[in-house]
Amino acid sequence: MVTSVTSFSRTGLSDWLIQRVTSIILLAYFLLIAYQLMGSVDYTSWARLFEQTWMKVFTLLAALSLAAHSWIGLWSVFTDYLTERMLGPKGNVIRLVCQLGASLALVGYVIWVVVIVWS
Amino acid sequence: MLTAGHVNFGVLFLDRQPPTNCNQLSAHLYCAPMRFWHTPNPPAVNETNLRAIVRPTSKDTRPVNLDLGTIQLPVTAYASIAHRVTGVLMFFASFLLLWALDRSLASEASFEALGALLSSPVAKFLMWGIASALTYHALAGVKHLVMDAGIGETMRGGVLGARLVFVAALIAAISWGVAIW
Amino acid sequence: MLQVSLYRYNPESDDAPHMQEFSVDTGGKDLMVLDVLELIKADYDGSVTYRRSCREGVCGSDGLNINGKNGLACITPLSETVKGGKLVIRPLPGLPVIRDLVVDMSLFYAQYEKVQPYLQNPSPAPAIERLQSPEERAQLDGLYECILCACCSTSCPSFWWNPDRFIGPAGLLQAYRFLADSRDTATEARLSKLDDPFSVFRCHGIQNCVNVCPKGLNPTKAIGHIRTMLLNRAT
Repeated sequence: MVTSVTSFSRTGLSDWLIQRVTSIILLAYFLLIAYQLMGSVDYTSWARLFEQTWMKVFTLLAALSLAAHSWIGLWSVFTDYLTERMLGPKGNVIRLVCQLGASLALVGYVIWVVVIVWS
Repeated sequence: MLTAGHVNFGVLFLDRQPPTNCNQLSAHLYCAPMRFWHTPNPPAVNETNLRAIVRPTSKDTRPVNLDLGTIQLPVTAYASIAHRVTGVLMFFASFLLLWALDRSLASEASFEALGALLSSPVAKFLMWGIASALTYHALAGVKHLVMDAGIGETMRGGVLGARLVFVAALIAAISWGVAIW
Repeated sequence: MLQVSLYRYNPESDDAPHMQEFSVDTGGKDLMVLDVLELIKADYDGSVTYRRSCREGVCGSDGLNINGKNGLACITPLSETVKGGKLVIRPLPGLPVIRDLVVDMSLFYAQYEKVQPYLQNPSPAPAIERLQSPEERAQLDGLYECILCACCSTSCPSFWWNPDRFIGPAGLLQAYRFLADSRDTATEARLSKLDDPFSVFRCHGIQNCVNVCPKGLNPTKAIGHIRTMLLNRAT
């Protein structure tokens, strides 16, 4: 058992499962957005779409999915390349800084979406 | 105890105790040729001693052959690399997408301003790039889900899947280009 | 004449590895890559170092990176790998080079050892053997044939970046070989050791392992089975 405190959910299986579930939510959300953007969009219909409760919930769900999905994906990128093995003794520090930066950005994304959609 | 068939391990474990749960008479006759037996205390390789054995240190100056330009990769590997690259790109692109969502919903004026901004050539190229990267990432993700279901785990299946993803993503990228310009 | 380019490194005299060129007369025969190495060692440079033993693809000693693709030198014919009369032989990627084409496989073996690749069953061993039905035995086909040549693990990017934490295709194939064995009773203990973000889940289905396995085995599929077992265990 390889332990790791910076992974999203600590176990490999739940990280893997969360990655899959969030990918399906994001796929559905982007398909919906793409469908909406086909043809010409005007402000009234666009704003009305985002006023509906289900769309607000869906958008928030997509934002949370984006955060979890990106966390897991970026974490595996960081732990592949930004390691002591690859970068020498400074590897762990560099990785933790990047991980912290990415995590903050993702939390920021979620808050931003809440502000955009619910205000 | 490890299989005796592998010489490298045979040497490693020569000093181990003989099997304890075989009776002494049959141990010689049956256990050894059977090659598998139970040991109450199997060799304990844990993270700590594993890393102690193999952790690269500055003292280990031996070269490692990992010149990626010399290594021939199958199309499945390129599909995986592209999946990773587009994934990282989407992390940064999400900022632009959120910004665009914010502008489009703030007010009618900002919606119009965004529309005007997005008609510039640079913005169009960015939009095309983000849409194409996202489409590729999504298609490669679908391939992952299909493989998770146990479909296409053979080399032929993987190669076919990777080619389909590349072709579909190319068609999508062209379509996005047509739609945007 | 075959243009052969060999990776050379002598720890006693070289600071860094270099490539050495040889023009080898194969006599127009479709030799195996190992035969070419033997020719070079016999006729050109006796100091060329590589591992070999059975010369028939059974012992797994001569896993090498041949024209960019991992394989066993002894069962790779020139006609299969040489294009444009050039043969480039490098050591297996990702492991420390001891000398020339010989790599230090400690990491690879340590990962293999971690999956406890031996039958575990606390019930007293019967006098003759533990019986299996033909169907149960068939579950092990495509798993037990591994010869531990390390071609797969050293072609796997996940193993290149995390050889101390990702078990790698060879180790995982053997992990599943014992998970799938009807005589083994340690399934739960085995699975509980694998459910972390590295050991199994570093596999991203790249399939380099399947692409190079000289025995035609499929670690990607075995890893998929392990994931399914982990999923079934947790739900």
